[in-house]
Amino acid sequence: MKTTLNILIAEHDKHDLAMIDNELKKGGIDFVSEIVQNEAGYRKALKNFIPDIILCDYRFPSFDGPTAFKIREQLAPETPFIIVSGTIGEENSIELIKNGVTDFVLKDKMFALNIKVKRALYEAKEKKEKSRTEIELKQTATHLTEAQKLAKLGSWDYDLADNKLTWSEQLYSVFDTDKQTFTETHGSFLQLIDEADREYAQKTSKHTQDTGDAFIIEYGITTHKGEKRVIQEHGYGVKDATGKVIRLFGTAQDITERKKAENAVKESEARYRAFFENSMDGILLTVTDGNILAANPAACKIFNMTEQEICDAGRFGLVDLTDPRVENLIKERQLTGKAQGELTFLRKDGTTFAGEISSVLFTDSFGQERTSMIIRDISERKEAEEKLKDNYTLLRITGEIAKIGGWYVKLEENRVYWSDEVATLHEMPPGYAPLVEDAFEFYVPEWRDKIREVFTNCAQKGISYDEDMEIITSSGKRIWVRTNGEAVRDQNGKIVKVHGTFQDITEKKRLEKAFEVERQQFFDLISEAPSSMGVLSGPDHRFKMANPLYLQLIGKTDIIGKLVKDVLPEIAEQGFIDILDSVYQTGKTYSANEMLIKLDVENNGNPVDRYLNFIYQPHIGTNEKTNGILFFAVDVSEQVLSRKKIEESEAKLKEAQTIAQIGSWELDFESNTLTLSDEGSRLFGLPADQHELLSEDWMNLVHPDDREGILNKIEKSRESLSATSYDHRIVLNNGTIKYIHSESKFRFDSEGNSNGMNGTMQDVTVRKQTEEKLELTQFTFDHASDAIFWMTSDARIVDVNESACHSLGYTRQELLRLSVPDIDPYFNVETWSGFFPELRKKLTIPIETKHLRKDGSLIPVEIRANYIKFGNRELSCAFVRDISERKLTEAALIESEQEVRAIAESMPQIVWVTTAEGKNIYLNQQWVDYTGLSLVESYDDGWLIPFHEDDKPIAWEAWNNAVANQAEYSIECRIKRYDGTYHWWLVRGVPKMNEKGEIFKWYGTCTNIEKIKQAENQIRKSEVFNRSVVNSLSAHLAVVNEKGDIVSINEAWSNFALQNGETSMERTGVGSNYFEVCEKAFIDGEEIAGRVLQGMKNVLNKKIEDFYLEYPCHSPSEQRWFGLRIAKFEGDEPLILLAHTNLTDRILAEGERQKITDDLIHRNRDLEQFTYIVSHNLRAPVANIKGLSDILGDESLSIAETGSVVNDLLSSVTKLDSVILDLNDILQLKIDVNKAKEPVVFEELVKGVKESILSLVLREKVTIKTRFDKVPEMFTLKSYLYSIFYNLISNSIKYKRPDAQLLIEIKSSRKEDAIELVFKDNGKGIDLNKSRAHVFGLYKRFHRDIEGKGMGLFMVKTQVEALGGTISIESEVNKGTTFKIIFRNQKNHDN
Amino acid sequence: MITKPPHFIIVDDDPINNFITKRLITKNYPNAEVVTFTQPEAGLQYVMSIFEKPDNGKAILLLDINMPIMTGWQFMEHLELVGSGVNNRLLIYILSSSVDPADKKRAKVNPQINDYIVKPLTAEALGSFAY
Repeated sequence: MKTTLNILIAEHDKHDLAMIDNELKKGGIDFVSEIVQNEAGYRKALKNFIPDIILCDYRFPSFDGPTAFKIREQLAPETPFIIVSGTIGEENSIELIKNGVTDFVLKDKMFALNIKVKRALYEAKEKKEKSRTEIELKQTATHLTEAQKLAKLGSWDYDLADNKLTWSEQLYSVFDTDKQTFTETHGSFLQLIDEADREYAQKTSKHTQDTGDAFIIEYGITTHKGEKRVIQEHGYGVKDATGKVIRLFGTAQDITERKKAENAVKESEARYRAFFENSMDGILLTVTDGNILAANPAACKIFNMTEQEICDAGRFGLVDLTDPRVENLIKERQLTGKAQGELTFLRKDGTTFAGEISSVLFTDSFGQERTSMIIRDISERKEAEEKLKDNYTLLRITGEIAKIGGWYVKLEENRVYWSDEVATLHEMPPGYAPLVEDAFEFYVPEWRDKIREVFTNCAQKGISYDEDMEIITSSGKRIWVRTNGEAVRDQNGKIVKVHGTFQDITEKKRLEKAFEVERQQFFDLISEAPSSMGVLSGPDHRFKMANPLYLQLIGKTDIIGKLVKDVLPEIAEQGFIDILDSVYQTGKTYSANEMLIKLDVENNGNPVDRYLNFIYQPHIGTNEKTNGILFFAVDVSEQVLSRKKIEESEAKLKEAQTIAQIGSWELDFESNTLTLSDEGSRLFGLPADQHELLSEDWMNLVHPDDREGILNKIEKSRESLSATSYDHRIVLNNGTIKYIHSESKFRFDSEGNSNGMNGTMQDVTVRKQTEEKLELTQFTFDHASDAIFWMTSDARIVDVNESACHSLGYTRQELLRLSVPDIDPYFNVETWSGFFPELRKKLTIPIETKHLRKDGSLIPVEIRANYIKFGNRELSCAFVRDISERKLTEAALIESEQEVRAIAESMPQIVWVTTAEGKNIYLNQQWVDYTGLSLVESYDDGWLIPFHEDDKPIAWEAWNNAVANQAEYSIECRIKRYDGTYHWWLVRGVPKMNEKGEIFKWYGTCTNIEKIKQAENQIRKSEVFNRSVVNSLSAHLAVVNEKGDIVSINEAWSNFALQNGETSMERTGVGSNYFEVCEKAFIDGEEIAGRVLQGMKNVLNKKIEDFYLEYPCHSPSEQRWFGLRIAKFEGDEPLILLAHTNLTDRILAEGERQKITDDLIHRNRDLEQFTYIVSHNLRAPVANIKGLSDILGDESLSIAETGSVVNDLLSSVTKLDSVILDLNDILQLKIDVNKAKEPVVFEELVKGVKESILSLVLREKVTIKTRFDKVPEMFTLKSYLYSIFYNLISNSIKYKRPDAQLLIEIKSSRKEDAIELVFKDNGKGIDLNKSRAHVFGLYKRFHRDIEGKGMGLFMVKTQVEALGGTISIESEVNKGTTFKIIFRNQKNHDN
Repeated sequence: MITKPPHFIIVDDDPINNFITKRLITKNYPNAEVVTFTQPEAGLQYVMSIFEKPDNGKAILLLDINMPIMTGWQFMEHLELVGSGVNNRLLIYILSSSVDPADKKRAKVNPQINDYIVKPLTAEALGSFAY
């Protein structure tokens, strides 16, 4: 708990601030303060500093109290606000107090600040506590309402007919009994009621039994433990059709607690009354206009008037209006709401007396303003005070005699002569004798006139004086002195001298002032404090003072001067005296909150519980030792008890909810949250610690079918403002469904807007299920086709169903009046009495008999009598079936059988009948004719004789199957003819069932199918033939029906499937669905499957004639292609034929052809290109020659010019020649290809090239690194490969970088069947971005500064390609060039 | 009608051709200004400089195709970057000995090229220039 106070002080005057600070510290208040001097600072401090209290000056330059107060009203209305001001007008202060300023302190009465601060804080705290309790109470009220509703539930049902009383579970606990001990009769119930109330209860019950009138009674019971309980019972009677009361219903509730509470209220009222009646102080209850409503006996005694006289006199008739204090007191009360002081009062006889009055304004429970005035006759105390004053005078005289310092003034000299002590007091040297006027100057200015006056009066008129005044010593110290003077006369009576004493009373003054303040504080504290207070003195704790509240608390009067242990003997054993001893001895404050103390308030030896917040504070005397204890106590019993009650009722609610499985919930609209009780969250299957749920989640729990219903109900409830209830299901997370009964109503805020809902809910699953079951049973019972009778052991019929009534032609009422012999003539009372014990033993007995209908007819019936025991009732439940129909049917059957036999004889087939077991009992003549067996031979098992030996087991197996499945029996088998030949017969049999569903007989025929069999064989043969043809086809064939089922496949189909990983034809075998196969494949991403599926459907739907698709179907090991043809199958059924043909060979061949074609086109294009380039290169010099020749023909040509042109001409001719030579070389290449190939060793080639250009290699310091270790040689045309090497190496040298030493790296490697040659140099490189397309072109050059024809790379490429290889280039300018040559299809010769 | 002395630029790596062509031009237009380049890069630089200068009529560019380092087509690619302004200042003719239909087609579809002339340049062809 926070103990340091935050005090916000709005004050500008430093001096005043210091005073406030000093005063607060003096009061022992532990605080921190923030000082503000303007509005901004003040607002900020309210927000950030969060003061516990505000002290504010009334008016200062930058700000003012009323404004500050207004701001506080907005920002911190709870914070106490005290005005501390030097100047505050009466009107202003009244206005402020009216507006709600907590208090005000005048600066010249600063000592009151502490008291007022503490009081303000206490009040604020109390106010807060009160409002908190109110809120809590309000919240709990909802729960309480529910709890009470629940607690009320104890119901009973009293059946007058059999004097049977049925109690709900709760009633047992209400009456403190249990099912074993309590016999459920009205009589035993009455025995539970306390004797005093029993007769009354009985009478009430009797009245209701007679009239059916509802009743409410209360009576007492006593539990086993001797505890008294008050029970409230509500009841009413239920009448039958005749108006006779047949049963009583009602509820009973334990209202002991409520009664106790009611009594407590009554008691407290009585107590108050007693206080009022018995108080020693006069108490007047008045209204604010001055009228007196009531006066207590003490008041009557004080004023010597009757209560009526006091009321008539009015307040102003009781007070001596001449007393000036009256006006002040009235003002004070107007300002502060209370007043306290001493006044002079008038008795009836006109005499006056001094009285102490405290007056408090309060609002009574009806909201009216009332004043209570407590008046005490203090005339005796006053007298005592007067006596004290006398004593004081005595003391003063004694002091005078003591004469601390003395002085005298010789009037003729007008000089003062001081004793040494007086001089010392003035801090002047001894012997100092100032002039009187100078001596006056020592007095502080405000006293100077006074001292002059009294001294002058004394010197002139001889009036003695004795004054307390202040002087300023020579060092500037201000001290209080007591100075008195007396005139001294000479013999003539003339005043010649004035002498007196002079005493330093500074200390005394200080003490006096301190005492005054202390006294004032005490006074305020004791009298104004709203808590019980008092003072104990001495180590044995004697009451020295106690305020009325305290007296009220402990229920005692007249305790002053008595010891605590005598006044309150009961608290000694509770350890409070020990605490007091401890406080007294240690000097340490003791405080406690909500401590339970048992006080004998009633003074009857029965202490009652009181909860107190209290403080024992040691009172330190002048000798700095504890000489007493101040105690403060606040009675918080009410809060504590109400809180405890809340807790208790909450616990009770919880318990009640758990027992009744009733959960409660609260839905707050603002937070949209559902708060659940323990039971509530258990019902919803939430974790035990989860009590909150968003309303959406709540709705999600509700069964989807029930949500709308609930919302409708709630909506209606909102419209009608009434509570509503609904049954619904909830679905828990684990899928469990619970039936919930909920009740809810809307909750409203103070403005009447609904801000939430309160509700309860109860798991009614079991009830619902039972109800359902019951309904079901009832339904079954009512609608059973069998008649059902319930009979008692003495053959009375107690219940029947609809069928029973119907079958016998009675109404239900009629039947219920009958007994068994009435409806069953074969049963009389004797046979029944023999029958029932047997039934009890066997539990079920079937009977076939006849029943007598109301119309006298007899009907055959089949009865199943069952024995059933309900509690101690024995019943027979009989299911009765009318079997007249069946009997008729049985008769008809016999007749029809005979007819059938006649027909059978005339049939061309063999007709037979056997028993259920297969024993033949009938065969017609056809059997005899065919088999040549006699009927006698053939009966029983004889029918099996002519069956072919191989077929007998089949016949038997089929027979057994048919018997087991009660199914038709059908086999084909060979049966021997009379001539010993076997013929095929179709034997069919059908079972005939009896009414029990058992096979009764078999009827059958045998049909000769020999001809059919032969035809079948024929077909089968041709099928086998077809089959083998189909299987020999290489195409995979499948026949698919309109549903996609594969109905037939050939071997190629299944072989293919098996090759492709199918193990048992589960996907594409006969019976599997090819639509599904395609669909699945399509979903898995095979687009072709989708097309196939569509194709199949299109053909089936006759959208297209047939469908053909070629598609790749590569297996991991090989590339494959298939062609699928789908065509309509010729036949009646809508079938399609799928034929897959392997097209791989064709597709591969096509691919090969395409490749060759591409190659040819490519070569052709190359040749074309070659032609254009050759033609260009031939035409260029030719064009030049032509142009130059024209110029030569120009006659104006000079000789020099002619020479030049001729040179050009020659040069052009040379170029033309060179082109033709190149062309020759190139053409030669194409011819040489056909030369013989040989193994060529790479290393030797390099060596040869090096030798041929040795001088160049040496000059240019070329390094050639070779790595031919992987593939040292290849089988090829040596001259070509040499040319390739030569060209690439000489190119590298030709285009080396001048600034770098040339390095050529050549290596060979093998990749599968390809040989790769790599030539890498670090020369100039070629910008491939520009020239990639032309690198290998004829007459393409990339370096102008170096001689070249643009033939080298063209030749290399041509040669590489002639050898069946490819060449590629990578190059980077100024880094180097890499050529990569790949020859494919080069077998590894090493292997 | 010729109002200003015609301005010819010949870009061909064959100096003999350049000689023949220049001579043919100067013979037909004695006051013509003829600039020849055997290195296309230098020729391109010169042509580009024309666009920097004030408008002084159109120059005629005779451009070969088959040249090392930079072909006539690569030369044209640079000019295409200049955009439509080229046609205001230049009349471009391909002068090549190539009879490759691909080359002819390529010249025809290029809007910046006026015509494709197969070497040698004749007086007749010269007279048909559309300046």
